[in-house]
Amino acid sequence: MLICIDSNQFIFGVTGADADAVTLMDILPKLDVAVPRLVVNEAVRNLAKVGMDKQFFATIHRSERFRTVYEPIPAKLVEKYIDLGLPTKADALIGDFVEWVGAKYLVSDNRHFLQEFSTDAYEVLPPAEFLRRFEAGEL
Amino acid sequence: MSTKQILVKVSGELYDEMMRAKRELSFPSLTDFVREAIEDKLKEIKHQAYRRELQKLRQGIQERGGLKAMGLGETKEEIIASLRRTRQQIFEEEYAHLYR
Repeated sequence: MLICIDSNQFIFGVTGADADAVTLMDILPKLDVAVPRLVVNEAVRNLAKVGMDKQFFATIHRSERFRTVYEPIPAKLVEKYIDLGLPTKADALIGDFVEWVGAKYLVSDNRHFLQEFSTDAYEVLPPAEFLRRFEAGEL
Repeated sequence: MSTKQILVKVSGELYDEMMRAKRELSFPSLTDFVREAIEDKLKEIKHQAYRRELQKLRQGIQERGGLKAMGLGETKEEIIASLRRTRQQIFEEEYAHLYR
């Protein structure tokens, strides 16, 4: 079961800002994860401010089940996700990526994903709910 | 998938223990039991390597001032808002021309 993880989870998980995101990062090698290059770049750009960008990149790719997808996402899908309620094309790029790679869940704390749009293609879950389902074997 | 054959010598005690575990866990053969045990151990070794890297990452971030030094804000909402600004910047720099 493939999932996508938003950049906020990586930042929360490596800085300790959120306990559920910390757990999510701890169990990363147990999950099949695909993220678009944009998400990795967001985390990398911010972690570069404390000189930990390379360590971040190396760490996530230590998980054999983690992959960064570099291919461009079809423009048609970006428009679809704007129509579904995402406020910017940058958000829509993440939203459509999840459908495009066939992931079942997007894990995020971003309210624009959690509250302001919906799609039949996948579910958006906050980390606490994702972990609850993971631990209960409900995914 | 290509396969290789290996010979594993174990003590009589360990052999008995393996056979007992194989029966209890209903493995069809000792070979299946050993194969899965090795796969599990390799997985564990890889997870440990990941955890070490993650620990190094977290420690490095804390030593360099953590979230404060990154200037992303203090609350989760502030941090998310900062990250969304980064997302927008990267989008404008690297992707906007593809999605006009």
